[in-house]
Amino acid sequence: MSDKKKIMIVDDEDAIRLLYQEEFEDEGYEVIACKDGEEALEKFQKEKPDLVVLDIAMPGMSGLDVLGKIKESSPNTPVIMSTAYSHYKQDFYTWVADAYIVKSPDLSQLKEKADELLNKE
Amino acid sequence: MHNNSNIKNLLYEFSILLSKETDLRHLYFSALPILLLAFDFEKIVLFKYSKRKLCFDPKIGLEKESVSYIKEMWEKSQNIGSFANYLLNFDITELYETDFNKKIRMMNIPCNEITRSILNPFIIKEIKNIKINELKNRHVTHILKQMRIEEALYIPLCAKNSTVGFILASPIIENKQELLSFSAMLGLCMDSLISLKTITNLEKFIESNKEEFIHKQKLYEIGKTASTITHETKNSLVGIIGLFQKLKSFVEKTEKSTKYINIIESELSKLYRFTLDINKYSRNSSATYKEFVNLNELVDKAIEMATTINSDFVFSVCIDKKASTIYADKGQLEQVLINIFKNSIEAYNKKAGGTIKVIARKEDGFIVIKIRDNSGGVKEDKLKEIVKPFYTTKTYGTGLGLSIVGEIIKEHNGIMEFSNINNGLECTIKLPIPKNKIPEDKNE
Ligand SMILES: Nc1ncnc2c1ncn2[C@@H]1O[C@H](COP(=O)(O)OP(=O)(O)OP(=O)(O)O)[C@@H](O)[C@H]1O
Ligand SMILES: [Mg+2]
Repeated sequence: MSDKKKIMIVDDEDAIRLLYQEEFEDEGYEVIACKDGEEALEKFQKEKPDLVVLDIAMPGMSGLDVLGKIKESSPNTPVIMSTAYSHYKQDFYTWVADAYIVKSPDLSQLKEKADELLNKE
Repeated sequence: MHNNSNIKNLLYEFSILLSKETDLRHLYFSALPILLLAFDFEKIVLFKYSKRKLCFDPKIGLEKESVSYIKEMWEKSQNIGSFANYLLNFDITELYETDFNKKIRMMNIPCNEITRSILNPFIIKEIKNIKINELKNRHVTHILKQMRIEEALYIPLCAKNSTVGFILASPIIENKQELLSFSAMLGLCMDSLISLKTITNLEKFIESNKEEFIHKQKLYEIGKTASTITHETKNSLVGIIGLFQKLKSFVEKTEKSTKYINIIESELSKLYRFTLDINKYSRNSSATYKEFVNLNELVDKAIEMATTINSDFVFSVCIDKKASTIYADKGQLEQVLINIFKNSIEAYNKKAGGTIKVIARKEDGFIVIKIRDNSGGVKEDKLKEIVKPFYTTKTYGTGLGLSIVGEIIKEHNGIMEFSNINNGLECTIKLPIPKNKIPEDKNE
């Protein structure tokens, strides 16, 4: 296949998923969008993404649970936690994540972080 | 009329009066005239000991001239007990309003370690004479100067083997034996009325706590719902606004479409800004009623109430004369002080040695009140957090205490700040002094 990097987006909000997907595709990434934790874990094994953007507050399995599972099976895959408000920052789980961003319609911060993490390797 | 039978008769009236008096403040004004008449004093001043502050507060000052109408009543009274009844029911305003009394009550003796160490040895449990030129004690000298006397009789008031207060009277008399019966009774009566006041305050405190609890619980629910709503809203808006930016490029630019797009954009960003302000929550406040209130009394009352949780705390109060009147809602300011005191007491984790200092002074256009504790303070990066609603480190707290305090101060157009000091937390409250209003000379 191509040498396109794969980004996995996990968010229960349809609009956000779509927005992230399009923006990252415009940047030249391949995007796998998942609407909840279960779907993400299932696809993670198959797709082996290079980066995961993970929403924290989701119904069912929370983003923090998903983070734990991902880091267990593939500790080197970078994960960006994304959330509406910054009060999760203190939660020690998020230390395991590689970055933490607060959601905003302006995606430049997210994109910067993604670039940074993907180009490290 | 100054003779032994007069003293005996007055002692009788005195005992009837004390057995019926139910109000501490009224007691000062009904009992002291009898003492003055019985021993023909020119001037008499009473100090009450405050266990909380470990200090003496001036409560009443009387001069012979101002009780002449009471003396007349005494001379006219025929039946036993009628004079006592007269005093029991008489209106104290006239005595309260005399210049001498006001001067005595305004005589702010700062309550701090220094005053304590100076005053305490002075407090002994026997009647004695004191002379201004033999005194080394600056504060006592100051009191005598204010009274405009050179020497005075020091009469201790005791109960349960501890001091409840003392009286300074002038001129010095020889007949001290008989004075003792009066002072012993007065001490006991004061002590029991002080206890009564403590119990009443305690009841009120429990009652107001109950109300506050219900109020907080409601707020807590509202706050929780509100934060879920804003959270969900913000989440949706992030997607909507982002996609809308994309949509714009597909829309054909006409006059109308541009207008619609601008409206939608500005409304969306208004909504979005709103969700950023999660801390904007409203206190369903009762109406504020501001008036000029005496800060000394407000602080005393709050101390009284706060110490019902922990009576081992020692309070130091030092309110500058110029800062003794503030423009505020009495009830709300009381709540402010109680909430802050309560936090200090709750944060203190040793058995004894907890102290709270209250300092107030005037500073260009503001009354500045500082409250300092030695309860260890908070982590530097948490200083901003503690005033936010729902921030708590206690299993039993709602985290609303300080945010309510903050709202009240805001309603008073004041400023509140917290900072860590040596081993404790300092709260600084600045209340503006209204420019166009002149405080009435009012003490209660
Ligand atoms: N004097 C103090 N010393 C140390 N920590 C304090 C002090 N005052 C407040 N705090 C900290 O700030 C937090 C918030 O205080 P706040 O009064 O708002 O809520 P609370 O006391 O926890 O709950 P509540 O007032 O409902 O009982 C406290 O939980 C405590 O951690
Ligand atoms: Mg509190």
